[in-house]
Amino acid sequence: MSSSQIYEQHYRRLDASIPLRNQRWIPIAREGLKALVSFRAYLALIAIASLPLLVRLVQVYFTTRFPETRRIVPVDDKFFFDFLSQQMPWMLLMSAYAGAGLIANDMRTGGLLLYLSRPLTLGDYILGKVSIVFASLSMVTLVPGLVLFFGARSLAPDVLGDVSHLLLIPKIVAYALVMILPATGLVLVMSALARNARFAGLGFFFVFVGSTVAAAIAWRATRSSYAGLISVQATLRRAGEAIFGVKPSRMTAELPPEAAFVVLAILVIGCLFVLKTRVRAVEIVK
Amino acid sequence: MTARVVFQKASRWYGPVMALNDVSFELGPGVYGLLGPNGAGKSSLLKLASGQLRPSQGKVELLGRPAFGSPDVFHSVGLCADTDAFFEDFTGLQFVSALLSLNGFDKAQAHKLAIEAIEIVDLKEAMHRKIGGYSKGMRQRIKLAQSIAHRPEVLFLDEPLTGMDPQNRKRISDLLKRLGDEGRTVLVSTHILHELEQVTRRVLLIHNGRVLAEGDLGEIRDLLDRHPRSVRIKAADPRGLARELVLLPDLVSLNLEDATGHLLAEIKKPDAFFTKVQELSAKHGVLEMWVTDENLESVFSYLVSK
Repeated sequence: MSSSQIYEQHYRRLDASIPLRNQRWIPIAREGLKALVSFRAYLALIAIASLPLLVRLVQVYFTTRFPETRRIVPVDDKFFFDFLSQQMPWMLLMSAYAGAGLIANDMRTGGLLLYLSRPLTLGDYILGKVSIVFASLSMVTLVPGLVLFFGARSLAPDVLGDVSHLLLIPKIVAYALVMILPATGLVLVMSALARNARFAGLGFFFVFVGSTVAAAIAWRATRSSYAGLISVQATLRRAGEAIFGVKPSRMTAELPPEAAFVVLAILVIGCLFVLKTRVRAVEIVK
Repeated sequence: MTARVVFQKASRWYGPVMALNDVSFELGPGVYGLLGPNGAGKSSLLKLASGQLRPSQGKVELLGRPAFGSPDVFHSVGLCADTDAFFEDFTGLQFVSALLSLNGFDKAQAHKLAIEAIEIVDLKEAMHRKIGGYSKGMRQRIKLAQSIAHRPEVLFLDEPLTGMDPQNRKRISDLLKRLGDEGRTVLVSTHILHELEQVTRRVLLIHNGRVLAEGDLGEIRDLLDRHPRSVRIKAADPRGLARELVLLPDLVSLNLEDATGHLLAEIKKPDAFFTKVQELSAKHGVLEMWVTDENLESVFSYLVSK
């Protein structure tokens, strides 16, 4: 632009203390979690979702006091698999509560521009949001799972004290991840697509419930064992059964576990792809 | 001039819709106005300049680097976007601090800088209140605070004065001028021309995705010599003066205003016209003569109507 220069002052820049590229998502995650923790409902949800953990610990305690009950409630791989599977409804609730508004609100209000006008990439933004949901879902799945293991191990060292039982730790971690990652991806995709937290939450539930209904219809129509792969819930469960090596339930008995893992992997990658394209689209069209 | 913002034949389209067309300009230190009606392409230009969009064609550079895909540049860039509903549950201080933390400042630094910026925009008393309870003007000021808190070298402000009362409008206008005087590059987008007149005379006029004119208002007027300029003349003998002026070849129109007795002329070649009026001034008692459309409003009106 042709214009006269006023004068050029040597500008004193303020240097940030953590400009490292691989840490840029941390402030997003930290501020997001801080905001969530300030809501009582969030803390209440975590507290309520921990009640099954207490029940399970009481069960373990009873097996130590009354060894004959171990036949009814054996503290084995299936015990932990069942516990994590039973946490799924809490995980869904937490996903909707913590994740539905994360991107939707930013996109609706233009907050996305505020993030992306900072030294952040789109990847940093998405990673930050993923971390918020991941941490929240871990509080109702992974963390209680591990607490249950170590609690049970200390309550019943005769049952879980063996070194071989330490293998339960990677199994718990693996199943928790298998549950958390698709749920995180799905709820954030819904959040990015809906632009409204409520619709995003409803859409998320619809995908979970709707996919199970669709799987049932597909099974009736085709009688194919692969029909179960349409259901997110059944696929997650089948993957968990494979991880813990427990006998498949009637719902998932015919589902090949490899196919379940492949479907879940595709789901997670697909979610990341949609997030990347969708969030970029909002940058363009205001 | 050290160019901090460079557009080089930059174009941007959304599908078949052309948002910006072959735009070229450079901005150095100082305050610049980006003027245009709604839908002119101001937001697209600001998004390109602030690296939110990739140009479909051409080049956009910010502080010597491509604006798009250079996140490090944003340590030195501030953006006050045209949105006012965000982070409703945060207090003003939390909002500014949180965004500063995204720049990499630690908690203590972010807190200190946030308070400094909030003081500058005169919101200290309200900084512990939730943004959800802020008025439109307060939201504008807290947005401005977040954009200047990290002391950026380049500032992009989208309609920064909207919703402010006259007192704060003056305060923020003065702040923008001061930022420009400090050597920062400030690009202010607005469709309200008189807002900009308080801040700068250096403007980019944009319409239908094209930069119609750029530079100082005077330079812009020079570019516009082919368009008529309005001149008001107060004379003792307006009718006699009018009889002689109508003979000028570059006169577009001439009116005698009944209420004031002033002559209102529209002319194409102002220099020739002014010389002629000077020659006739003694004969017809020319008392005053002034160009009525030197302000942004009239320049803008001219340009967008052509």
